[in-house]
Amino acid sequence: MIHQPTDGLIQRLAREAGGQPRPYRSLLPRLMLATGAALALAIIVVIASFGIRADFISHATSSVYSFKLLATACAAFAGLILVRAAGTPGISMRWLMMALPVVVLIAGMVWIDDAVSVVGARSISVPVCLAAIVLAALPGLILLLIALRNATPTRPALAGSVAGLLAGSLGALAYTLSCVNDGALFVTVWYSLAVVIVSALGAVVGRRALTW
Amino acid sequence: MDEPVSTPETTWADALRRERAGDASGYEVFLREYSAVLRRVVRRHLAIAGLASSDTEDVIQEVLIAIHSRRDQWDSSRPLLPWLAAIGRYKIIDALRRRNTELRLRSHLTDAQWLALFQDECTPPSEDAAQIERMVSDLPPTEQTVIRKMGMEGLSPRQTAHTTGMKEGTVRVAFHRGLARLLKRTQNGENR
Repeated sequence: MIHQPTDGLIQRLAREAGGQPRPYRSLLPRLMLATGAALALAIIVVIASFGIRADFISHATSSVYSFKLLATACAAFAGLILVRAAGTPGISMRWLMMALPVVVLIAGMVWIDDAVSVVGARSISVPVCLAAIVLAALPGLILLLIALRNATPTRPALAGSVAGLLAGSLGALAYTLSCVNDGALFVTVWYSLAVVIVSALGAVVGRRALTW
Repeated sequence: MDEPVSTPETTWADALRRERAGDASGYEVFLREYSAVLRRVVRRHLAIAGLASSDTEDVIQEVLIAIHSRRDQWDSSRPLLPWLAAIGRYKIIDALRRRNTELRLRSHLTDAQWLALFQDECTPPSEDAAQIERMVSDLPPTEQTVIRKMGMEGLSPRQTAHTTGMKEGTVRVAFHRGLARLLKRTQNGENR
């Protein structure tokens, strides 16, 4: 059986052999660059719109702060691994990476004495926390989506959602500078919700923006 | 001396590595063998989705073009087959979804628009060319280009996408939107 149109296409494509648009570049270095820039932007957004908490210097050595830092950094690390997998065809998604931040969150809830209730230190703690993390994550989300667009995502919505996971974690990491809610339960519930919101946003945008 | 067993993985990966050095014939063999595999997969997918098997070659070509345009992004130190499979899966699903959307768009015509399809034949032929030209040039730029290429020059969606640099999905959607708009205008014109 002769497949005329496809045959013609194959011959045409074969004639372009060796004419690579550019040499192979690994995605990971570009992603790490985007991640660094995303974190820097998130910190700028947090400082500019919410400020650093007044007692940050003394707070920085507390166990609650270490917990916040460790949990958000672990989530960001897992996010980076997942984004790389989502942008590289043939690499399976390493969802087990998500166990890392989950274990840290659970350990925090077990061992840290919460100074605040689940709704935080002030009545506006929850909405401020959610808004701050989501806002801080947005510029980074855009950078990561651009990085993914230049890679080869084969599941656009999924790739967008893990980009949101990474951007949200970086937003949360930056928000630790400002957050006065010193409780593991608060962090587990509201930081996670904020990251999930950014992740969902990433999925919605990625579904359209990451197709090729 | 042990001759390495030749599997699709080793021979195709080899062909793609040599393609980077400009080996066209090995690359052509790879494209042929891979499209034969695709043909089976795509036929089955189209059948399951209840779509016409006449689209098979179109879908295969979409996958081949995708592989070709992204071939620089394959890390030659990693296995090739999972890479091909992920892109093939994405492009096939994308193509099927697009065809389903297209079916829906096509049936988005109102009853009156469907009727206009048949009334069109009653317009005296002498007026046609000028009238069509006038109506087409009133369309938004994208739809206008696509209607001209596909409807008037007779290009396929793929060729239109290639010459205009648009995505093929965009081309198909623009074509149907443009047609729908033309039909609507025909009607308004006749109601005046």
